[in-house]
Amino acid sequence: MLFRPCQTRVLRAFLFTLCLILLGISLTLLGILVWETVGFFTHVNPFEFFLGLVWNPTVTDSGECLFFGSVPLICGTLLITFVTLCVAAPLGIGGAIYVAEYLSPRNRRRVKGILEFLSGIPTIVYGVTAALTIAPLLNGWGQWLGLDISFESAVVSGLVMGLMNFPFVVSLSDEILRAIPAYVRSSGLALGATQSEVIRKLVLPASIPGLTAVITLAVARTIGETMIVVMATGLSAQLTLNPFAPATTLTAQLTSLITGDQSPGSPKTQAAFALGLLLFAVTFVLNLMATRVVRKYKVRYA
Amino acid sequence: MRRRFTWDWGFRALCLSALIVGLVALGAIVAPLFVRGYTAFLTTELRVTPFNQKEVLPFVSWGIKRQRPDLVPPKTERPAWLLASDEADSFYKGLQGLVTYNSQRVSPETESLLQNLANQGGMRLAFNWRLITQADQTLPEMAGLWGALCGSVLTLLVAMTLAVPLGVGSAIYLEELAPHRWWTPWIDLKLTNMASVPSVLFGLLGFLVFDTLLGLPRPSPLMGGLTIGCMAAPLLMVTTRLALQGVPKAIRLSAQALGASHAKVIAHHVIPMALPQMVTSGLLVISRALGETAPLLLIGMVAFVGTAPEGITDPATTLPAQIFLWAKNPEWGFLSKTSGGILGLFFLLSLFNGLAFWLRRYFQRNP
Repeated sequence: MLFRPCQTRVLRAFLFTLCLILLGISLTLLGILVWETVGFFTHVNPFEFFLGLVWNPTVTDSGECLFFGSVPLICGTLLITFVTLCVAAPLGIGGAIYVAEYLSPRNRRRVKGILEFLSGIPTIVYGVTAALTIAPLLNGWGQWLGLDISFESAVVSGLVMGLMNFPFVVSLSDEILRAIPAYVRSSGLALGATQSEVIRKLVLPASIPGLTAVITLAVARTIGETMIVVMATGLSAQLTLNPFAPATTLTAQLTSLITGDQSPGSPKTQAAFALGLLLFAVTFVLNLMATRVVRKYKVRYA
Repeated sequence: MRRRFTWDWGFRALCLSALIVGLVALGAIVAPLFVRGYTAFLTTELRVTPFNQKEVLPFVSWGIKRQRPDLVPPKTERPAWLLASDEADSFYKGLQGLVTYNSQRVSPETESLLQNLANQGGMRLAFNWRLITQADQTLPEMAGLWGALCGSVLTLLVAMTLAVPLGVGSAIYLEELAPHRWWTPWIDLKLTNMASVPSVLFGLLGFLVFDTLLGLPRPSPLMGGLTIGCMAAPLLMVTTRLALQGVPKAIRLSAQALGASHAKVIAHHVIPMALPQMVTSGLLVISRALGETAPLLLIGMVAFVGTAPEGITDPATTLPAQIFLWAKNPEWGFLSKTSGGILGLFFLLSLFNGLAFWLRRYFQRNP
C-alpha cells in the first residue's frame, strides 16, 4: 500500500492544516476589527471616541464626523449589566447552593437537565418576550406605582437577560461548589456546625474565586448579548444612570450602524468595527480573567 | 442552639426560594409564547355563497382574491370556504376565546357585521396549512414558515460542513498531536478565546469578508452558513477537546505499548471512546447555531424573502430571523405568527436536544 491515511505524518499534516484554517479565521476576525478601527481613527480622534459624551453619529456633507462619543453606550451597557447581575447573581448562586448542597443526586441530575435545556433557549425567544410581554407589563406596573418606566428601559432588558443568565449561573456555580472536596464539609459537620454554617463559613468562602469567575463569565455574556437589546432597547443614547429611562448598548448601536448604513469604508460603518473591537477587548479580558481564576483554583484543590 | 437551627432552616429556605423563583420566573416569561403559539396553527375561514357575497367579501383575505380569483364569487357560483383577512381572523379567534393579544380594535359596525356572520355559522376555524407550506408574505394570514425552515436547514448544512471538520480536526490536533513548542499554548489560548467571542462580531466578519470582499450572494444560506460556521467551529473545538480529555491516559499508553502508531491510537481507540460525548455536546452546539440570529442581522439575512430557497445561493432567511421580522410587525396576525414560529423553533431544538439525550442514555447503557 502506497498511501496510508492512518499514517501519523499524513494525519498530523492534515489536522494541522485544519487547525491553521481555524486560526486564520480567528486572526482574520481580529485583523479586520483592528484594520477598520485604525481607518476609523483617521476620521475621528480616538480621544473623542473614548471620552466623548454625545453619541449621535453624523457625517456632514463636508465629510466632518460629529458626535462619535462612546461614553453613553458604555454607560448604558454597564447599567443593563448591573440590572442583569442584580437578578442573576442572587437567584443563580442561591439556587446553585440548593442544587449542590441540599438536593439528592437523583434530583440534582434532573434539575441540571432542566437547566441545560433552559440554557439552550435561543436569545431571540427572550428578545420577543422582552419586547412584547415584559416591556408593556413593567410599563403598566410603573404607571400603577407612579414611576415612568419606558418601554425601552434598562430594567426590561436587564431583567430578561438576568433570567436568561440564571440557568447558566446555576449550572456553573453548582460545578464550582461541587468541586470543594467532601472532607471540608464532613470536618465542619464533625465539629458540630449546622449544615448552613458549613456552607456559609466553609464552602462559600472557599469557592468565592470560582463564583467570581462565574459572575465574570455572565457579565461577558451580557455585554455581548445582541438580540434582546436590539428588540427591547432603543437607539436613543442618553447619558443617564436611571434604569427606568430608555437605554442603549454597544451591541444595539453596532447593529444599527451596520444595518442602517451599508457602504463599506464610510466612517459610520467603521465606527461599528471600532465598537466591535471594544467589545472584543472587554470580553477577551473578562474571559481570560475568569479562566485564569478557575484554573488556578482547580490546582489548589486537585 | 434553637437560634442556630432556625438560621439553618432559614438559609435552606432562602436558597430553595432562589431556585424556585428563578425557574418559575423563567418559565413565566417563556410559557406565554407556548400558550399563544398554537393560535398560529389555526386559521379562520369564511363561507362565501352567491347570496351573502356582498357582506362577506370585504372580510376575505386579499391574498386569496389575488392568488385564486377562480374561487371568489364574481368568477364562480359555487359556495366555498375562503381564507379570512387578518381582521376577521383575530376577531373570530377572540370570539372563540383564543386571542391573548388584544391590541387591535375593530370598529363597531365591522364588529356587528362579523358577529352576525359568526352567529349564522359562516365562520370556522381550520388547520393553518399555509403556515407549514408557504414562505413569508406581506399579509399575515398568508404567511408561512416553510421558506424560513428550508433556509435554516440549508444554512445549518453549510455551517456544519465548515465547522465540523475545522472544529473536530483542530481539537484532535491540539489535544493529541500538537508538538510542545512555544507557540502551542498561544494557539490554544487564541482558539479557546474565539469560542467566547460575542456572536455579533462574526456578523462583522461576514459583512466585511464574505459580503464586501468576496461578494457572495447576499441573503443566501451560503453566506449565512459560512458566518455561522465560523462561529460554531471554535465552540465545537472546545467541546470536542473536553470529550477527548475524558479518555483515560492508560488507553493511549497501552495501545502504544502494543505497537499501534500514534494515528492508529487516535483512530481506533481515542475517538471511539470519546465519540458519545463528542456527539451529544456537538448536537448542543448545532442547536445553538440553529438559534443564532445576531450575526445574520449584520449580513442582511434578516430580510423579507417571499419564496422558499431551492439551493444554497438562493435568497433565504432563517427561522429565528423570521421570528425577529414578524415580531416587529404591528398586525395582530403577525404577533400570533411570532409565537407560532417560536414553537416551530422549539420543535427543532427539542429534536436536537432529545436526540442528544437519547444518545447519552444509549451510550451509557451500551458502552
